[in-house]
Order: sequence, then C-alpha cells, then structure tokens
Amino acid sequence: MSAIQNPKSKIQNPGVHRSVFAPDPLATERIGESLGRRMEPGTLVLLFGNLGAGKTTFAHGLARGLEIPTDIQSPTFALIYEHKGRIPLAHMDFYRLNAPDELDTLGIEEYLDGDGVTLIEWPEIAMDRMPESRIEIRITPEAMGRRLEFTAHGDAATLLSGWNLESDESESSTGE
Amino acid sequence: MIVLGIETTCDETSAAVLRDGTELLSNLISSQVELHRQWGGVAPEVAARHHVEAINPILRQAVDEAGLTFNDLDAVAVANRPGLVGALLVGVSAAKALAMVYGLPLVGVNHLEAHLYANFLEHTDLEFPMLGLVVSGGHSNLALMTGHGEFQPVGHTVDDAPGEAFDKVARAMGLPYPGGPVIDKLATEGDPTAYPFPRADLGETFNFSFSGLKTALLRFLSENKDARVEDIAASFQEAIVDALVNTTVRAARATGVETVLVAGGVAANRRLKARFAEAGERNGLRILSPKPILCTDNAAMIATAGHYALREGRGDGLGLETFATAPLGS
Repeated sequence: MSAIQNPKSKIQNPGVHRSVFAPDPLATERIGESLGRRMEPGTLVLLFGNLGAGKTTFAHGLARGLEIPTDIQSPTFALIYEHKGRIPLAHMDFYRLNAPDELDTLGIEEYLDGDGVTLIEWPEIAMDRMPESRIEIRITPEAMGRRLEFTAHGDAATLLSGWNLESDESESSTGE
Repeated sequence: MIVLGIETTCDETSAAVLRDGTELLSNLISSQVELHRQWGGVAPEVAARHHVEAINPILRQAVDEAGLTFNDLDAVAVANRPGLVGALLVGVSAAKALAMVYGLPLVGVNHLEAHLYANFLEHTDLEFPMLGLVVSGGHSNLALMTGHGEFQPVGHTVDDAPGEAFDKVARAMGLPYPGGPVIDKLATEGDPTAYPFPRADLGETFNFSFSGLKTALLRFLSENKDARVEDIAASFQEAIVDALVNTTVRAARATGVETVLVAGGVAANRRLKARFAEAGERNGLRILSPKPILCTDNAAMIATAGHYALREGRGDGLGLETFATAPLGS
C-alpha cells in the first residue's frame, strides 16, 4: 500500500503556501471552484475547519470546478460519496470516526492510489495514513468573513503555484 | 406469504416476520444507541462488529417470537442499499445464508423506500400517486411514488440531512446523542419564535439545505451565551420543520397528489408531526407518518417493502450486492 506513509519523514519538496480572504459564502465557493478547475487526476485535498467554518460551501465550489453536475451532499453519515465529473471525486468525511483503526474497512487507500480527486473533510484522525503529495486547506472564521489558507506538499505544489486568484494576498514557498 | 425482513444499514440490527403484508408477527430491534452515545455518533467499525454479534440471536428470536421456525418462512427481504458497507454486508450475508439453506426467494430492498413502506403496514387503503418524504440522520429525500417500487425523485438536501443538523447542533449545545429526540423534548418548553434562524431559499426547487442554518446557529451560540436553551432548541427545530413542511406541501400541490407519506427517524419529531397534521388539514392533503417505533430503522419496513416487491414478481439471486449510495427509485 504505497499510500500509507509517514508524512513527516517523506516530505522533500518545499511546500507552497497561499492565503486568501473570502468576505462571504459566494467568495468561498468561487475560490473552491477555481481550485477545482486546476485539479488533476490523483490529487488529494484535506479540508480542515470547525463546524460552520464553510467546508460545505468550499466543497460545493470545488465540485463545480470538477464539473460535477449534481449536488454533493454531506458525506458525514455515509463517510464516502463518489461523484462523476471531469475527474471523478471521492468526497469523504471523518467527523464520525473516533479511532484511526476505524479507517481500516473503508478502503480509502484504493481512492488515494486511484485517478480521481479525493477530498477529505475532518481528516485529523487519518493524518498518519495520508500520502505526502496533498493540498491542505484550513478555513477559519474572521470578523468579516473567512480566512482560507492553502498549503501544498509534494507534487501537488504545482497546482498552487501559478494559481491566479482574485483577492489573493500571498504566495510563498515555505522551506519546511 | 410469510416474509422475514433483515435490517443492518446503520446502527440497528433488526429482524421482523410479516404475514401477508400487514400482520406483523415480530419486529426486534437491537439498538446500538447506548453504545454510540459515548462517541457522540455512530462509529462504523463498532457498528459492523455489533451487527456480527447481534444478527444470529436476533434472527432466531424474531422467528421464535412469531411462533414459527425457519422452515415456515416463504421469503427473505434484506436492506442492501444505501448504508455503511460493512454493516450492510452482515445483513445481506445472513439473508443469503438463509435463502440458500431453506431454498427461499431473496429480495434486496432500498432502505429509503422501505421507510415509506412502513406506512403500508398501518394503512391498506393507500392509492398512487403519492408523495414520499424520507427524513433521517443521513437522508432528506422527496419522491413521487407512482406504483410499488416506482419512485421519481422530486427533491433532496443539497448539503446536510435534517437529522445530521439535529445531531451536530446538539453536540455544539453540549446535549447528548442522538440530538433529535433531545431537541424535540427541550423545544416543548421553548418559544419557536424566540430567534429567527434563517430558512434557506432554494427558489422554485423542492430541495432542502440545512448547512447554513447549522452555521447560523453555531454563530448564535458563540455570541449569546445566556440565551435559554429551550428557546434555542425550539427556534432551531422550527426552522427545520418550516423547510420540510413548506417544501413538501408545495411539491404536493405541484404534483397534484392527495396523499403524502412521511417517514424516517426525523418523522418521529413531535413538532414536525403536528405541523404536518395542520398543513394537511389546511391544504386538503392526507399526510401520514408511521408510529415512532416504525420511524426508526427497523426490519418490519424491510419485510413490508419486500412483500410488495415479491408480489410484483421482483427478486434477486444469491449474487445480491450492497451499495453505499442509492437514491429512492434505484
């Protein structure tokens, strides 16, 4: 299972970091859509943020950018939903999981090794199983909207560098 | 015809024996709610393990309580979609084993459709077309039912299911799992108009959205530490009930049906029941929902749906598969 690696020991490429402010849900969705259009087969996206942060809104935008024609419903209950689009999307949500060994029977490695895009909400419990190449997104509420922070590791870094984003405030390489 | 129903889609292991579509001889439910309460939700691995331990005793007890033996059964119906795959496999494997050993016809049932079929257990005079609303922890679906097993999707949630919204908000309010019944109870002591939480506007569609409501409520909680919990519960519940009742009535008018079936765990919510009764009277609609024990996940509804499917000549072989996702009508 090549997907199971310790992320900390494997990171070689410098990460790419971006930070964007979204004044309203529509902006959050547009940023998601813009990133969705840049997705390539095999991309892994980890989406962090508390209840109500805007993960659902961002995920809707990302799905639109992947040209998924249907509404993407919350996978909290089912854990994994698959959607057909420009690239297939496996939409996961580990909110309900309590221990890493509960991931054993979900078959997430098959998705991570596959040619689709994998989007995981509440990924904290699965971090030890996540491959190096990935985009991490952290959404945090601020006074007048939401702060979206993107960090890309490994091969996925190319998806963030050169990403033209309205109201983009920063682009930097972090040496890690 | 005597049908054995088996349900293991989520956190209940259930088996039921049904004679001729309406005579429920047994309906046993082994709930894992106590088990999952400590986690604040269903833990899938825990759920699958519990199903394995519970399934054989439950099957035997269901047949015993019906005063029968496995030899007396005429068919086996099992929920094979949608649900947690590990959990589904336990019920489907048991159903296949029984079908093989006793030479019984086997039919796979859509769990969401079966929720609506719980209404057929209590009412034998239902006439198509009808509108069906399934509302639960994982689902929120409106469908037009034109015949047995014939469903056309009308609307769905574009994000969270109502039961999920109840559970997540209850957790944020520091209330125990499952959130629905707790909020239902608190709301009876609260003012549903105390706080005007937002109702999603989805235009002319018959869809639902509860994610924005959840976000609004979380913000409210962080900014209003002293608000009465009963008033918050009642106002939050009212926002969900408003969306479900108004959209369903609008869809009933648009499709021209006279009967609406409401089912699923959230259908047991007392405020929802009362508001649907009111709306039915005002709009000349017959709006039915099963008694609470048949709103939760149970095998009686699986046996009922299986009964009608078999009567229509449907059936599956021992190659019956499981599906994590399956909308109404698929």
